[in-house]
Amino acid sequence: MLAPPTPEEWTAVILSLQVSAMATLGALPFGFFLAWALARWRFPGKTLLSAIVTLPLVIPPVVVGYGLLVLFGRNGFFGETLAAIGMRLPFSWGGAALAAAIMGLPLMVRAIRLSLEAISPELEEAAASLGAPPFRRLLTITLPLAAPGFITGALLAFARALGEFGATITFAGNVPGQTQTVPIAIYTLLQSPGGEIAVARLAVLSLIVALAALLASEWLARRLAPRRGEPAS
Amino acid sequence: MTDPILSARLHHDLPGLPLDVTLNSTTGRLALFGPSGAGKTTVLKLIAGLIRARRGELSVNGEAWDNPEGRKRLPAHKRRAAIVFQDNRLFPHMSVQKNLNYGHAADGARSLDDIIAFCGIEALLERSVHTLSGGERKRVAIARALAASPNLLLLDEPYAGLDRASTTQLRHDLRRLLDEMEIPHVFVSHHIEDVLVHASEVTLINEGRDVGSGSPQEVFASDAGQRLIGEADETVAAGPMSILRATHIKSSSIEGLEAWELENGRHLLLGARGARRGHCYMRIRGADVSLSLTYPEDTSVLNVLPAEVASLEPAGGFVDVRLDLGSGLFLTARITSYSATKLRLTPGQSLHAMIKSAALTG
Repeated sequence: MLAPPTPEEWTAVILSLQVSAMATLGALPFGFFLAWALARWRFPGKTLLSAIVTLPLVIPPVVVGYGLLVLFGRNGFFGETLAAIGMRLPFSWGGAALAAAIMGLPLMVRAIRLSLEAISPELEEAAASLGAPPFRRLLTITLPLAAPGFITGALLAFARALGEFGATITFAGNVPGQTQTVPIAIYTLLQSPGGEIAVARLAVLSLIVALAALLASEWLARRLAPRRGEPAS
Repeated sequence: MTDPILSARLHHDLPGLPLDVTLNSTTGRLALFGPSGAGKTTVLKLIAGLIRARRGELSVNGEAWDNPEGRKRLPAHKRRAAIVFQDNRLFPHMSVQKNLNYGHAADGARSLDDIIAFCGIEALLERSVHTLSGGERKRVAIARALAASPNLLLLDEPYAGLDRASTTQLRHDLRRLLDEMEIPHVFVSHHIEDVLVHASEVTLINEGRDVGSGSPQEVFASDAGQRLIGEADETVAAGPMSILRATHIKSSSIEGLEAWELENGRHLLLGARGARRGHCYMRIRGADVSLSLTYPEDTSVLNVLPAEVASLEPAGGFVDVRLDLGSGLFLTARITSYSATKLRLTPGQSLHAMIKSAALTG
């Protein structure tokens, strides 16, 4: 039998949930905008943008972390600007969230884009011909119909953030209570003698969290599913 | 001259189908007739502002929607040109009632309850749109468009995909509805019957151009009209067809028949169906008209019209005889070349045209 988790272990779990939630919420507006642009607009460089958005999925996470360091480090392009207003991302809680958000973005954009592409713009045309201005069409037609895509996208990004390791440890480091999320805590414990029991506890905890998230999304998706698509007459 | 309800010159470059169409309507009961793929639906979308015209001019009820320079352009939602789409486009995540509420204008001439009753959809309000039949969906789509209290109603093949019984019923209901609500409308179809029921004016559309316009009678008597009927409407048998406007007079003294008066004052007898009053457009197929040089005394044919041969047009083994009925009315008969030779038909000749009552459809 495993002993209950220690306060340090709880800290890692709660930090993981906080960082992942923050990463997901922060990524949503960008994810929606990118998905909208890729699904609805025609512009030069669209394929390139699509490839860039997908990049974090295919390059080593450590490279993403390194890239973030270059951009947001003390001498980085954004780093200097942020430092001027007293913000520092590397080796901070915010940095861990940023790294997780970047890593989750491709999955989020993909899911939302697919759901936007599945909504025929014809329904928005119908709404326009009934007198609905663009913003009302977005709120009443497009967003409700794309809701399952948002949920799937958000969940995938959240799950990806929970498991994030390479980019986070490179960019945000391994600061307990600050940037030491569950995967990083497990890695650290594995390095130290006698940490096996704690590793097992953390592994079980992350399993439970992941399973709960999946079940919640299945339930939501099933609730929303019958509302989509008009069957052929 | 009456001010036009709709006046449009629309130009658009579609890939593979350049479009250049001029439309005018003074009655607000305009039909666009032409074969599939002629650009009729695109014209509706241009009017509704869902597609931006490359060049063009469009005004409805005296209000400019598109100006010639293409700079000032009223956005679709401000035009309130409600479209009843061929595929309905009901909002799948809303109930029937919510679909109706979506564009409902509280300042409309009719209350929503009235429109629901008019369209006969009281029983459907709480249903999800997924559970509706094709005919029910179409009724909801029509009610939704009417509820928006549109400046202009655009109907895109509203009977497409419906079975014959639903089509007949819905056509009857829609005609009554549009008459009572007096909403100006543009009706797109490739079925001549739809056009004759709904329109007072027709514009023929073929390959992205308007190729004729006027009253159904004039338009369908023209060469372009005759050709397009054959091309567009697969339900019409091959051969020439004449369209004559007729006004219902009364049930005739002969049981089971009703009398209709043509614009030249002559009467036609038609099997009574009791459904229609007022006026209608009769379709007479060339093959249902026969000719006699003398007044036929002993015949089962009830409708005999005096006529004069206007022209003769060979058509395969047949001859299409264009007959002048007086008062600007024309009727085309298709007879065999053998008969034409036997009767020695020449332009200017007087004769009698016979039409079987059973062949008349109004």
